[in-house]
Amino acid sequence: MGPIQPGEPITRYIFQKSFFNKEKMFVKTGAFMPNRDNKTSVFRIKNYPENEIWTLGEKIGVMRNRSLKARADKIVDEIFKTGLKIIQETSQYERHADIIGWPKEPEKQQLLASALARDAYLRLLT
Amino acid sequence: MSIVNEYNLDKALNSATYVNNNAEFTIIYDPDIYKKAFSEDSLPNEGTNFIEIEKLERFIDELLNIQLDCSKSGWDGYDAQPINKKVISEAFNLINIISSLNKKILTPDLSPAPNGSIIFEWRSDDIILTISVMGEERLIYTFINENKTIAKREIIKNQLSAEIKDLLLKYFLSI
Repeated sequence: MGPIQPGEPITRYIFQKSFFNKEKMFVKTGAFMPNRDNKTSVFRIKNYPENEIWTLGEKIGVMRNRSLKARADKIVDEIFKTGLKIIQETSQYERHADIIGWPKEPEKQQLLASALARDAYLRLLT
Repeated sequence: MSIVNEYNLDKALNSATYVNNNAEFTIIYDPDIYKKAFSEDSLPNEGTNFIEIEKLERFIDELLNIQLDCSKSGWDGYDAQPINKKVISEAFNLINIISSLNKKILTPDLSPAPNGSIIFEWRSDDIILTISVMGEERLIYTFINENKTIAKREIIKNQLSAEIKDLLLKYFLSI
């Protein structure tokens, strides 16, 4: 797919219902907190048909024994603005990428995750 | 049961209990009981009201759901750490502290986080306050608005720091 470009849309698949508020339609901070490897897994969705975006998320969910609940869409510029970076990581999926550059301190991670969640666009699986 | 036992031992309260899905929680919902439990200088301002029982029950239901959903590694579909009983216990304690502040404070959203913490989250337009507990006897809080960001940690006490209280009362009161 080539290097990640400014303006590119990405999505974070959500398999946990506590990661969003469907009445107020927002993504919660926890959804963007990094995992143990200090990365947040996302997928590149530029020029990817809507139904295929969902299908990919559902397939990943099946492999992980979790059902897809929603997704959080963002533009990569919003990630760069926080000082975090995003890199391709295509070992399993061509469209996969990781948000990296997370600080070690949990309070700083929480602040950045909060900033990412604030701008994210919640899409519910219907 | 262990969560409740830990909590009761810590606070030694004459308090009501809440039973749901075989888990038993102690709730402080009576102002008089609260006053007996905490020293005068840790009491909130005069005129403090206490959270309605319905809200408290909703919180506890959410906590129980988080405990059920997130007790094993990978609960988020990635590689999240399990939410352990100490974290649930601290979250429960934090609910009690927040409940004591002012009943006009907006109800926060709760969410687990992949690092094993539970995050309390308040939103008002683009303003976000989060407070999390990790089972390490400290809490982390962050705040974002147009002009300011805060990211701090502090030891858990019987009340929130003045800074957190100020943020809650300034930005997150219901009209």
